Parts: sequence; structure tokens; C-alpha cells
Amino acid sequence: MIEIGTFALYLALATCLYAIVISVYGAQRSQRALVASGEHAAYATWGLVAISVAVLVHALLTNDFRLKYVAEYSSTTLPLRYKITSLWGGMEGSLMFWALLLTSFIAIAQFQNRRRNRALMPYVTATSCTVAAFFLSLLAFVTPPFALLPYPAAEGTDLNPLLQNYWMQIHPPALYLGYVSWTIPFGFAIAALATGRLDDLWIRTSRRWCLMAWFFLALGNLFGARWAYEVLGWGGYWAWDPVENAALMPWLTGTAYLHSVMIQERKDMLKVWNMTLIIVTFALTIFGTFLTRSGVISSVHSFTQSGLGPFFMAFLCFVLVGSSALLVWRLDSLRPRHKLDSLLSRESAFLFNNLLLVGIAFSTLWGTIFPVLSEWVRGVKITVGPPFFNRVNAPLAIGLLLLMGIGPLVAWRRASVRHLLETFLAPSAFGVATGLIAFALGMHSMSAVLVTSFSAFVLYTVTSEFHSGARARMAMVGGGYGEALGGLLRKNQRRYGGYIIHVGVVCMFLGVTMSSVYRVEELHTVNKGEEFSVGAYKLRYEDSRKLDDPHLSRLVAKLRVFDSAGTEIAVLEPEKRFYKRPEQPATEVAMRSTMKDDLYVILGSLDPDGKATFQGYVNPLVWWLWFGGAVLVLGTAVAAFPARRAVARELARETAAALRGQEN
Amino acid sequence: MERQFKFAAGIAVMLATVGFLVWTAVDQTKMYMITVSEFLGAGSAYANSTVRIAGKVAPGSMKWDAEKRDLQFTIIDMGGQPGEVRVHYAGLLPDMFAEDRSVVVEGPYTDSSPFEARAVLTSCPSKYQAKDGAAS
Repeated sequence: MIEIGTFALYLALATCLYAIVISVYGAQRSQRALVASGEHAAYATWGLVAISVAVLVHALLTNDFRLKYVAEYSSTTLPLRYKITSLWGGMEGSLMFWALLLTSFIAIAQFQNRRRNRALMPYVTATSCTVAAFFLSLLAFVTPPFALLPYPAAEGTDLNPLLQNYWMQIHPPALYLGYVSWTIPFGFAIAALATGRLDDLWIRTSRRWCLMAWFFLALGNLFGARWAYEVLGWGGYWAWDPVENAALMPWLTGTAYLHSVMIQERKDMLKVWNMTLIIVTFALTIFGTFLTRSGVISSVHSFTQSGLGPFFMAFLCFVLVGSSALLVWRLDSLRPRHKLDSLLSRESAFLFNNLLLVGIAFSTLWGTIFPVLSEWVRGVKITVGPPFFNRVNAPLAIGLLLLMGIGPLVAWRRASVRHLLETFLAPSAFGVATGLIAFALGMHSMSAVLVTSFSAFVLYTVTSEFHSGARARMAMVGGGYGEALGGLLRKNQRRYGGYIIHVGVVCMFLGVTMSSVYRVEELHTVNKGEEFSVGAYKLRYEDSRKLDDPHLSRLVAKLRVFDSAGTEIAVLEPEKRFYKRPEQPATEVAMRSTMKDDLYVILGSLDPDGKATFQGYVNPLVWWLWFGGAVLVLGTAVAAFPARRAVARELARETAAALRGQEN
Repeated sequence: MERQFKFAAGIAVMLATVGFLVWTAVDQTKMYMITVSEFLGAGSAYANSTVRIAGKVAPGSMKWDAEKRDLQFTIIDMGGQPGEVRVHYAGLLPDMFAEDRSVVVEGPYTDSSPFEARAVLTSCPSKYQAKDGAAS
């Protein structure tokens, strides 16, 4: 069985390399048979990787402790669902999972384009297979997933207890989906550069892939934040840890890209910028894996130094040098045909949105690699903590929020000052009024007031976009308001889906700002029966008990929660856990979450006489962060859902473009 | 031309803002990452700045008062250099804190003893990737 896995892996590397060479060669010689052979080889790679992954999963499920990987990340007492999680719990497994996703995506992209984009496809296959070949060679030669132990272990070490959590089952897959899907748009970009077909065909073809990649990165980050919030037990959800930053940066540049391609599609401008953004975004996904897997920068995720660092660094350099060379080579054909018309235009709002997003990505990168940089340059190791990121990124993010409201108000090309004043008056008045009311009600933090005011401004402009759109549609095609609203969404999915995503982002802004500015944190040591308060909540420590099973032992404290009126509203049971394999303590947070605030309680310590220390937090509006995530899911669904008419239109446009391409 | 100039000016202002924010924030939030022996041999090199000292909790040095939530311990150099730093920390005992484990203590530099830690960071003993040959 195990031999099959190893063999399939070697074979997958061979077919993958073959696919790269033969695709490029076939495209250069315009030999369809060779190009087809390259695609078949890529399909074969996918099948072989799938077999190899299946063998590893089988070994995990059957507790095959002859395998080093299984012995290190699983055990007989590990629940079944976590045995599958173990596939991405360790390094070899996560690289396998990565390879599986990537080869699956290559297969899907090839299948989607089996009759379209024939000129681009060989290079898409070659580029994405090059990435796959990198991961497969790591698996084949550097970190073999099927390495055997000298003697089979009797029992496994078990999966890290911190990873034995629901969110950890879905967080890494979501993040990997996001990371890996950027490879396909990158492949299309490289194909466009290689073939010189630099119109917006590659952008339109890869748009859905970009949306998917962006979406899964957002979800992956949110799931990760949720995991940190529930499991790590420090009351927060984002610590600006290098590994978190690594996943945030490609999301930021990807967001910039999704906005700036609209300018290219409309105005045939910013071509070099878009190419740069997609290359940078892809490079950041590789850099992210490098950060998580190399241990160059110390992180709470504490991965051991794996020796993979140099390989990732080399591959990253290869990607950057190779794509920059292609970009420079094509620079002449990428010159824009138009210039920006006016500083007061939607184009320039997009431009500044891009600068802000890239600015946040840059400062995050700078803060993340600062320890390494300062050691190189000055010989002292200096690190910057979360205060650095908050200080730099908060103003930039608030600027971004403001732009989100301004964007829809400004006309394309050139907006007249008079018209601007008219459209701005109502939303700005609403925003300012909301800010003033919030201030009068006791909100005195400047960033909180600004975020509230700008959020109101954005919500007003988005709502009026929907409203005026629906009214216009009613006037045009008749029907009721709701019908018109539905028609609006169907007709212009991308625009209105985007607006819905903006509403989600506003919710997240509010959640993040209020929960950081107005967070309450208290520490109390009490005896059984005693009461203490956390913010407006009263808590009574009732009882404690000890539970024991083969997997872990738990100390559970029972608390009754009362609101300010004295009514009992909840029973919370925070725990201290001791995992037995590996021996490790862990904190189990107890939470009562409402739209208004979260009461978050940690059992700090429990003495033998029953005296307990509790750390309590009240995190206002944090619920809206997760709710914003749900709205984002909805918005993405609206933007990306393949409506029949839209697909037909796209096909027609693509055919036309292809015909035009043949004529040239 | 004037239009292009306006755009260039706008972009320049933006980039300058980002640069300025990064520059000042680094200056205000930087922390020196040092070892116990570097801390002891520093003189006043780190005066008025925040340091993160990496070391190992000396066996037998840990005093934890659960009632007052008061932690005192000594850290020694991980590389075996002589010298030790007494540390005081008020707060919850971190999950992974134990004697003979490596820790990082963070706080403003001081040449008086004990070092008042603002945070005690412990690293997780069981990594995602188990060390080769590590007993488990």
C-alpha cells in the first residue's frame, strides 16, 4: 500500500515535468497533438496525486504507525474526524494536500477551457504545472510523506490538542483553497505575457478564479480568527502574527487587483499595474507558505525549522525574476492607450483604493520581516509587535473605508464639482450626523467615531445605489419594487454583489473597531458561591468538577451569569484541559455571544480548595465581525453565481474576441 | 501635463503618508530581541526602550502566588552563558509556563532587579512538526 503512494508521487512528478515541457514545445511548434498530450499529462498528474493522498489518508484512518507521519500526527484514541484533519496537521501532509488542490484546479481549468482560449492554455498548463512540480519535488526528495519509522510505533503522538477543534478542520482547507487558486490566474497572466495576447481576455477568463481565491482567503482568515478567538483564549482574534500576516497580504493585494482590473476592462489602462499585482499576489502566496514552513520568523504558530526555507526562497526568486523578465519584455505592448481623465473620477478613486490596499500590504510585510531586515542591516534583532500594525494600518484602513463610500458617488471619467456636491450632500450629512450622535452618546475615541461616521456614509451610498437602481428599473420594465431589486441583482451581479460585499466589510470594520477600542478585561479570584462583575455582567461562581477520560482530563468551573437587572441569562462553563498525549494543558473558553457584545470567560486557575481565578472579557460588537463574514459570502455568491444570461453574453464576447484574435 | 502632475502629486502624498506612518511606528513600537547574556552585558544600550529577553526558566526558581497572581522566576541564558535575570510578572500563569522551559519576557529595559515583565511568552512544547528524536 505505502509503496503505491510513494510510487504514485514519483510518477506524478514525472508526468508533471513532461506536461510543462511538451506544452511549451507544442505551443511553440503549433502542434495540437503535443499540446493535447501535455494536457493529458496534467490530468494524469492529478490522478496520481489523488492516489498518493488516498494512500496517506488510508494510513491515517487505519492507524498505520509504521509511517512516521501517522505516528506523529494521529493516535488510536483520536476521533475519526480529526484523523482526517491530521492530513493537514503536519508539514508533509499539508504539502500533499496542497499538491492535490493545485493539480485538481489545473484539471478543472483545463476542462473549462477545452474549447476556449486555445492559444493561452498550453502556457497556463505549463505555468501551473511548474508550481505543482515544485511542490511534488519537495515531497519526492526533501520531505517524503511516506517515510517509515525504524520500528513501527505502538501508539501515535496524537494531533496537537490546539488543532483538535472544529474551526481547525475548516480553517486550513479554506486558506489552502485561497492560496492555491491564485495559481490559475497567475498562470493566465504568464500565458498572456508569453503569447503577447495582452487584451483583457486573460483577465475575463480568470475572473472567477480570482474571485474564488479572494473569497477563500477571506474565509480562511476569518476561520483562523475565529479559531484563535475560541481556542487560544486571550480574548482576541487577531494578533498580527507572521503566519496571520502571511495570509492577509495576498488577500490585500488580491483585493486591489479585483478593483483595478475593472479599470483595465473599461478603459484599457493600468495593464502593467494589474500584471504586477497578480504576480505579487501569487508571489505572496508562496512567501506565505515559506513563512509558515521555514521558521525564519518566530511565530506563535511555532513551526519547527524544517529546512524547507531555502527551497521556498529559491522558488520565490525564480517566480519573481521569471515573471518580471516577461513583464519587462512585453512592456511596450502593455502601454496604455488612454490616460486618466481627471482626479475627480471613479478611476482615481480606484487608484487610491489600490494605493491604500497595497500600502497596508506593504506595511504588514515590512513589520513582518523587520526582525530579519534589522539583523541583516544593523546586526541587532528588532521586532515590532501588534502596536506597530495597529498604528500604521488603522489610519490607512479608515481611509479605505471612506473611499468605499466615495467610489460609487463619483462618475467615471470626469465628475463635475457641482454634480459631486449634489450627490455628496445627503450621504455626508448622514455620516456626520451619525458620528455626532455617537459622540453625544458617549463615544469619545476618535477612531471609533470616525469608523462609525464613515460606516454610516458607506451604508447610505450603498443603499441609495440599490434604491435608485431599483427605481430606475421599475420605470423601465415595470413591476414591483422587490421584483425590480431582484432584476437589478441578476442584471448586474458583479456590481451589486460587490456592494453587498462592501456592506459585509463595513460590518467587519465596526466589529473590529468597537471590540478593540471598548474591550473590557477583568481578573478575579473568588471562592465558591462568590460573585464578581465583568463590565455590566454579574457572575456567580457556583461549582467546579473534574472529569477524566483516556484522551484528556478536564477541570470545569460553573458560573451563572446575570444581567444588570439581576436576571439569570446564562450558565458558562470555562475549562482547563490536560491532554494526555502529548501532555499539554489547554484553555477552553466559555462564551455568551450576542449582537451587542460577547462575554468571554477563561478559567485561569483552580486551587484544590475550590478557589478559582477567572479572566473575563466583554468584547462589544464582535458578533458583527462574523456576521460581516456571512454577508461577504452572500455578496460573493451574487457576484460569482453563473447566471445563464451572463454566461451566454460572456461566451458571445469571448467568441467575438477570439475571432478578432484570429484575424490579427 | 497639469493633470498628470496632479496625479503624481496625489500618489506621492499617499506614498509619503504610508512611509511616514511606517517610519514613526517602527520607532515607537520597536522591541530589541536579546538573550540573557546580551541583556546583562548591555550597559545602558537599551535605556528607554522595550526589550524581549529570551531565556530558560531556571530550575527551582519559580514562585507562583495564585492568590495574588504574582509570578517570580529567574531566567538563565539558553546558550549556557553565566548570569541570570530575576523576573517579576503580575497576571495569569501562562498555560505552557514551567521550569526549565524556554520563555521570552517582554518589558521596558531596566538595570534594577527584578525585571518587570509586561508579558511572558511561552512557546508551545509540541510543535506542529515534532523534532527528530524528541522523546514524547
